[in-house]
Amino acid sequence: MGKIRVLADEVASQVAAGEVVERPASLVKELVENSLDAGAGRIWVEFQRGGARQVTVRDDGCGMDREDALLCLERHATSKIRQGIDLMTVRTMGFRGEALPSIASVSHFRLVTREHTADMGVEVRVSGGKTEDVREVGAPPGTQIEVRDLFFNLPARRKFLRGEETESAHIVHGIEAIALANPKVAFECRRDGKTVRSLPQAKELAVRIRDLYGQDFLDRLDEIEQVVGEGFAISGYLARPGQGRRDRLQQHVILNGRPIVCAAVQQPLREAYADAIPRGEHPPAVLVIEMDPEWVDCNVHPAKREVRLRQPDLLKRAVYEAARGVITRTRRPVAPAPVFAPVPPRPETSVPAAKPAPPAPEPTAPSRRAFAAPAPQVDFVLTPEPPPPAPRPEPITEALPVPATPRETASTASDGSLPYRILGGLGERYLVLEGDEGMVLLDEAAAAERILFEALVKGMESGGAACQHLLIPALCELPAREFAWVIEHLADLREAGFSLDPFGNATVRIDGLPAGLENTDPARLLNEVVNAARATGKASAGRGLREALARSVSRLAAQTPTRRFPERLVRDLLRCALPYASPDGRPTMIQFSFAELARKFGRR
Amino acid sequence: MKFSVTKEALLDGLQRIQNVVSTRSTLPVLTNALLETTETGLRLTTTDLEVAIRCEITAQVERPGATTLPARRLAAIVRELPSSEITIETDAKNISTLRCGSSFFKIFGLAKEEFPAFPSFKDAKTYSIKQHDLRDGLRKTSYAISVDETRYVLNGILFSFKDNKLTLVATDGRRLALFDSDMEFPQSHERDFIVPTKAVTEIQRLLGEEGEVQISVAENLVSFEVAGGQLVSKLVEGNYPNYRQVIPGEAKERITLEREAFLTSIRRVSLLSSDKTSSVRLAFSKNNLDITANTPEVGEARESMAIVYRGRDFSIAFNPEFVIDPLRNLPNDEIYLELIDEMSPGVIKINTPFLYVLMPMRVSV
Repeated sequence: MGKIRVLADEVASQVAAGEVVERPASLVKELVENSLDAGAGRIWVEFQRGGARQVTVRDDGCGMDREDALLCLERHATSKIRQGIDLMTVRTMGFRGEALPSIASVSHFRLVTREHTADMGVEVRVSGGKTEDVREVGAPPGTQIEVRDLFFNLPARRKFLRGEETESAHIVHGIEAIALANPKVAFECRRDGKTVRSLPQAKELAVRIRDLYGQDFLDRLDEIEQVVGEGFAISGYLARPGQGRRDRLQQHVILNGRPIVCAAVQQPLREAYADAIPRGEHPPAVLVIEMDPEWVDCNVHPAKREVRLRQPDLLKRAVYEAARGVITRTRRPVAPAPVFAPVPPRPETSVPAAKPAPPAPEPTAPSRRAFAAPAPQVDFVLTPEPPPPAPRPEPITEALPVPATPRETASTASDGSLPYRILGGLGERYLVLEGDEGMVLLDEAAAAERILFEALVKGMESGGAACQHLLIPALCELPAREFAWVIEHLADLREAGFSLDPFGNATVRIDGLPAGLENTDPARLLNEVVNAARATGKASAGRGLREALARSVSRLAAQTPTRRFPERLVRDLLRCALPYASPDGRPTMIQFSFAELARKFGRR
Repeated sequence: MKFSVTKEALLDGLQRIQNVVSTRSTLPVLTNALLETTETGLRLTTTDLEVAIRCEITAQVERPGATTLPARRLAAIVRELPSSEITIETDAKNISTLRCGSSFFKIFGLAKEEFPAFPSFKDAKTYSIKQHDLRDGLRKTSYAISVDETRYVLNGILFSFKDNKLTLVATDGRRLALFDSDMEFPQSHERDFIVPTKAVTEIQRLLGEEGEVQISVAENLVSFEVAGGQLVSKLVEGNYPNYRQVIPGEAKERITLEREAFLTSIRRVSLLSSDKTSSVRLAFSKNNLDITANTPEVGEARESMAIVYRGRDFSIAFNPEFVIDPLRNLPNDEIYLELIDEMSPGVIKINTPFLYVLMPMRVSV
């Protein structure tokens, strides 16, 4: 007895503060989210010395009266939920009622707030969790919270703060993430008295993306067709093929207005882009997901960065579909951006007036539609006007391959002639083409791979790829695990065009190969295909495995020289659903536009 | 060395040997042709160390000798020369001067000692066969040679001397062409060997319609000798697969087809089979053959042929190339297509000892 005691409120707050207020950036995030919940249209953030000295967040939101101003500093006092059941439907940013008291318990805290209808505002000062002063003051409508000397009473904690630069970067990054999720709110962020971000209210997501990350970044993305699933809707922008990045820093996912990290989005993106960007790269993305609050549990992580989904599979499927839509829609060779195009400077301290005019605003419906800006001008190489995105009434359940309309229009000019003029061969593996916009280099092997890959996948989906039987069956001995894999996947291999039977004792008898593999040693082919498929085998059965098989088969086939005529190669390639990347995501064509060439030759 | 020769004779000789010359050889002399005078004229030799070929042409020899000259360049010059009489003279430094009418060329050559010695044959078994027969046999089989370099035993034609027959076999694992020719040789001469693709191509250039060809085979070399020319080649080492096991037994259906009509129909239909994974389907019904191909999003083609057929209705798919190849290389007006069922190999036969086995494709459509 006597060992266990209930903590004093103050101490409890400090403990909680450890969770909520990890570092100044998390404190900024909490305060800004409060402002958003208060319906702010503009939010000002100012901080000094990486936020350790001082953080001020001011908004033009609804404000509070005196009573609320005091109550909001009590633990678990919140305006946002009232009973347990509300947790199921929470739509606001914060709801735990922990933030303000926690912050106030570890800093010199000052709250000034005024309701729009009130004559006077109220100021509350708290220091280390103790309320020191409450009085009426004159104030603009809204709320301003000032936090000084964070962790002044927790020296151990204070020591753990990183350098000013690091903490400042975290703060700005956090604000960017929130700003991206709330394009209609204006943000201004000042560091040590200097404006580092100034984001005017944006009617559309595209404008906010551009203001935040630059036109260059926006150009790499294409708007997805909005997907409306059961209990959720997805809109936003995804990378065009070939625009991968080494890291995921440019993958932004916004769930119900909150930036999150979510495996249920990363994984389908990885799968969808498997053949559109090189392995090891990630597609930049800005995905806005609106989800019925009942389907998502935000109460997992104190900083609410992670969420738990009740039905991740539906969402995964939808994200995959959306990504494939963007990938297959793009009809433009990869431009070699790093070679010629100077990288435009990131708009650090941007002056709103200097911005190019935002795209003509649509009449903003109050619904989700508001997020979906009209597609940024897409330059289609092959057709004078971009094909209208095929309407997809039922995107989730629809069989995958590709709307037929854009392909038809894009691949063949009306008279059936090629949109490129073939100028000749370059070295042993490239073709040089001339298009309307400039010079295009084509990698013949990559192109042949893409063509065969799509033929194989198509063949598999319509009941099995063609199989050429062998005169003399080949026996192939496999290591135990490979053998087990083969036995388990006999049907899939058959679908991919193999014909084989177990021959006992870790040996299989191959009496048919996928058609088109004119000249391959059967045993070697099987070995390589099995290894490749096993490596990507985690991808669920069905399409994933099919594609893995088709990918390795086509890669091997393309190694053997073909008797293709260049014109036929180009024509077949353009007929593909995804002509601009090989099955493992390397580009098949690279364009050097006339403008770039002119620049290179100093003509501009 | 000094000799005179007609343009036609020299050009003809050079064209028969110049294909062996390697274009990018590490040994410069291999891009040259060896020119040697003989009692009756001039002997031209080229080699890439795998295959060596030589031929003799008539020439007026004034001073005997030998030298080497760049084979392709020499051929190109001779082709463009204006009149028919050519005189070539070589000095001690292997610089040759070529005169022809008003033209004069000076060409730098290499010493004949640098040129690899032409292989000689000892303890060789020798067979004699009509040039026409061998040429016929090679034409009927060589298209089926495998081009997959990883399965090198298939990169050539099997010559099998057994039971007083020469059997030629070529296969790439999906189809097999076999040609038989009766001939006489002692039983001690029974032997199998594989002649590589390049030699097969060059022999065909060497062979005429008349006369015999002497085939001599030693441990790992084979020689084909005709009047005025000889080709020596290394053999492909390894064991040829047991081709007899792939020849199907009793056929269920034997269909007589008019070769030319069948060939042109398949050619037309195959225009609508896709490039890589192509197939054409042969559908047999009473007295009718439908040949079809279809490629999704491209289109489809159908040809109907009247045939004599009373068996059950069935269809079988083949790679069109594999059907076209023998049809193109057979001279006969009629061929026989023997089939069992849609999963079993098909066989094309003619009136003379020849057969062609081709494996069907499994196509889902």
